[in-house]
Amino acid sequence: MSGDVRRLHPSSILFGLLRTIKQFLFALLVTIFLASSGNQWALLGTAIALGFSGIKSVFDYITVRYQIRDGDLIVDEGLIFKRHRTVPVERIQNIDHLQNPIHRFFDVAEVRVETASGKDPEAVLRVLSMTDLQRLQENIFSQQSVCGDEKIVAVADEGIVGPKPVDPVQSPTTQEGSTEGNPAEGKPIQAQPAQAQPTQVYEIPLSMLLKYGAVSFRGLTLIPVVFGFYWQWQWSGPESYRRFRGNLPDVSWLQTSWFVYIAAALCFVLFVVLGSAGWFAIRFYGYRMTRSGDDIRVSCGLLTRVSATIPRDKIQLVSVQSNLVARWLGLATIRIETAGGAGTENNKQAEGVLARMWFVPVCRQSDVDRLLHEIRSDLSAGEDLPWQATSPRTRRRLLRLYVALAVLIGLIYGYLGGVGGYFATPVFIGMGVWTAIRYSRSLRYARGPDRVAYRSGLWIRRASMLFYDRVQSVVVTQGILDRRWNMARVKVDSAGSGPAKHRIEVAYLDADFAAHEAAAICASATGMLTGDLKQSSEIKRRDDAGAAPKMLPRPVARP
Amino acid sequence: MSDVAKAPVPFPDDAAPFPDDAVPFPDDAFAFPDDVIAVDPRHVTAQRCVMAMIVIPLGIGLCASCLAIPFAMDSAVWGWIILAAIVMLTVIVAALLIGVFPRADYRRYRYRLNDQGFEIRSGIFWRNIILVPHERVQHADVTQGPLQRHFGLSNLTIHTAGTHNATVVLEGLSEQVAQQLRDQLVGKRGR
Repeated sequence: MSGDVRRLHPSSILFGLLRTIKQFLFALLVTIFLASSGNQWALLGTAIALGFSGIKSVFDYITVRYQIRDGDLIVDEGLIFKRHRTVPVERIQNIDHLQNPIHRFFDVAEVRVETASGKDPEAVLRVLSMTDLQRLQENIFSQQSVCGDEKIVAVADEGIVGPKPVDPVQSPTTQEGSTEGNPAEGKPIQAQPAQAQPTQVYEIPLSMLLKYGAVSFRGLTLIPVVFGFYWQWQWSGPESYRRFRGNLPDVSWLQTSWFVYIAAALCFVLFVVLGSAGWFAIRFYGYRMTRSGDDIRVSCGLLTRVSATIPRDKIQLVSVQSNLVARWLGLATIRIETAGGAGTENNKQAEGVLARMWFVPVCRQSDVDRLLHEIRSDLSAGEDLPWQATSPRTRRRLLRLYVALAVLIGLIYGYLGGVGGYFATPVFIGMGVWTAIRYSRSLRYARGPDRVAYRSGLWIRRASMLFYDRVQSVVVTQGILDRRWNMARVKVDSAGSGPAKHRIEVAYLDADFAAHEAAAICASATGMLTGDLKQSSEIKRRDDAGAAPKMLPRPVARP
Repeated sequence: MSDVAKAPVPFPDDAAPFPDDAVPFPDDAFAFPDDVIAVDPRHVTAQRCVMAMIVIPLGIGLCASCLAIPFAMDSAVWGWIILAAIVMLTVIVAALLIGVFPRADYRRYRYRLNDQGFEIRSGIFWRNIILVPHERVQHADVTQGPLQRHFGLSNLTIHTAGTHNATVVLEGLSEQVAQQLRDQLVGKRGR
């Protein structure tokens, strides 16, 4: 269809209107409220605004055109201020789309065309019919395979790899080139012919989604709300509320019964668990990960169906995370960060969040390795890495900090809650001690041959890995307290940061060790790891040992 | 505990602890290596000017607003004494900020360019080492404010594709050095 100028689907007028209404929902409610209290002008204003928005939607529909010509995707839009956008097809990284129930009713989808650059998608087409979308995808992929050269042959072979599971050894390493040039600049992806058969990588059964959703405790954020209601209940409220309450049957006897409190607590827990499970199941229903060539494709959702394509060489940071209960159940979440805009914290578009923050919403821990192999064939969960504890003084430092905090909280509590409150102080101190000991044990750092890794966390454990060819800069900082303890903090920066909610930022390292490791990471990133830096830090420590036996106790190794 | 150890995953509990026998601490891990370079000495003067432009108006403002104290207090004598104390304290702080701080900061401010990358060390109380690998330098700018132009100084700004440290600034280079450094950085990147 080269040269064939195409338009949006006619239903885009409706969706344009809906979008405006959604954006101005609050203003709309206010005007309706005003109108109900007799302000006719507000109603008129709203009607006019809606009318304008409708006209704008119609014009949008009329003016937006797209076409593929001479290897470029060309999008024209605008009536007065015209915008003519040309995106070279071989630069296109993703064509993501999103379908909510209304979209599905009309058999259309919101489409985003992304290149590696910038924070925003290169072009957003709201909305295209599914057939148009398919045609666009086919066109772009076939054009890419025309533009591409012998690379395609290699990828095309791979399309033949049978259905699941993919043998990690067979999956070709496509990363050789990535050390040259900046990875975040994003090279044009190696295109695959449209007929390349995508390989099924992973599917999540509903039972697993429900189980993990139930233990993810997302509903815990409701606790403050519940407390708010509780206090509201204690408070007699304004006049109108009291009048309203007078009409209710008298239930004050209930409040004195401890039974009611227990029942309410149980109901709340049940509500939280069911709510979390439901949210998780609806969001990730029918999750499927497929791979075709160098692209990983993720799709899921019961109501709003989301589908995203992630080129493997755009992936920066990989993080495996799970909370305590999930660990008992043997489940984990995999999160990733990519270069470019999608999925950064300020840009919470559905597919961005889905595809990065919830790259694999849940999987069995035994599957983690296999899935990581899909991301990069030499990537594993990290049992091969030389994990190290942080400074031996970490525990003591954290103990002091937490005990001081506990005493402070205890004193405040006692001050507010009377003498009884002071008795809580030992409990707080106990909690502080426990937290300090466990947390200091949870910290681990590793500098492997190909990547740097960090894991931390008491309740939610997060283990993140960053390949050297994704390292953008390394910073060592030493604050005043750090200096007292002769410690420092190493931060490793990469091009994508945000959705994984974890980064390589290792605190409580010995100062000399931190400086040494930072230099080694930087050297590895340049591919110039030689001489003194090459020896592992542990060996260096042993060498130094004989010279200066200035010893401090180190934390007991884990049982 | 045994099944935890067996768990094939990301959280191995058998992390190699540090060797028992030793954790040596050199006196200062942030001590400068031999090959680091200081920026142009004129940077101190420029910094003093900047500091003076900030501190002097603020100090005058503070003292002026405190002029009300003797009139507001019952005992004017004590009021004047308090005012004098405030003025003296302000003068001392200003002198420290203008006279001592830029010099101390300059002493702790070094950079170097070697095979691994570009490195900046800075900070008196909070110390920093920033390392940028050569290949991650996206582009480098040389910028110059009016004050710096007067002193013949330039800033070198290095851009990476990172998120938290996307720009790294080295202040107070002489113009030629800044240009040279920029060319070296951009040149080395290509290898």
